[in-house]
Amino acid sequence: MSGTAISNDIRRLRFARGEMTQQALADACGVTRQTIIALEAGRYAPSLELGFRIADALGVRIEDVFQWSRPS
Amino acid sequence: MAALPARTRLVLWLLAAGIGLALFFSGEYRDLGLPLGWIGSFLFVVATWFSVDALYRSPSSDEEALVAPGEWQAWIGVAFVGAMIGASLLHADVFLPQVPISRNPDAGAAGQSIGTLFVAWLVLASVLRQRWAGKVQADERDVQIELTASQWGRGATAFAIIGIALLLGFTDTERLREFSYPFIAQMLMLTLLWGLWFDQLVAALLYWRDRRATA
Repeated sequence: MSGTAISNDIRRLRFARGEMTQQALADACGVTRQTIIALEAGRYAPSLELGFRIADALGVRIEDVFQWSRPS
Repeated sequence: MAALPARTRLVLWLLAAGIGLALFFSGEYRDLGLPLGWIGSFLFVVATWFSVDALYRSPSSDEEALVAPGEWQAWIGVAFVGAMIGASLLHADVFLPQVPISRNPDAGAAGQSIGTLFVAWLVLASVLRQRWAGKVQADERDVQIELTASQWGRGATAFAIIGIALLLGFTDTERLREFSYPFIAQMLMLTLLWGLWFDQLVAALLYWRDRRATA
């Protein structure tokens, strides 16, 4: 579970969506709050399905949430 | 107890768990005419339950709130399986006589106390799952952690089995006569416990490492 090549804007998007809490997002996506914390900190790369669920819960497209940077 | 501040309550329950564990290890069933071993294991289970309850319920100083249900279960596993391994090692000599366990009361008592801890662990883990019912207790990240931990656990078990095989294969025959069948059976059980403990420890450390990095 080390740092990943996938970065995300979950934290910014949560705040843009009426300061949605980590717990509320976790509940909407069916994961633990600790997973949202790990995602925001870039410690965990989600599965494709979870990525879509997060984007759906935040009301945006998946590419607005996650970015992939080619490992150098 | 309920009137005390949460942190004090937690410290007291942890202290009680420590006393329970000490009684479990030291308590012979005939000491003072009291079943100290049973009282110790009971105290350990109850105190662990209330410790987890106190931690999970009260303080939102957010350090504790970051602990995932899976991490709680893993640390509890480390404590209980560690206690079982400790008890197995402490009572290893009672398995040395060349008599079946059914005719060796000391070995029977040692096996019973280890079994009690195992059952207590399963019950506590199940009760905690019930208590957290309605919340998400495990997701894909937990599955990944469990997978990594079980790979390490399997490796640790294989390592221990190779150790036992080498020990049995290369020990002098005369010396091997000191190893009774119940003792070898106990060694095999200990190997399983060791693999299980390593599995739980790696899971707990992986959770902890993620938590430390995000704190």
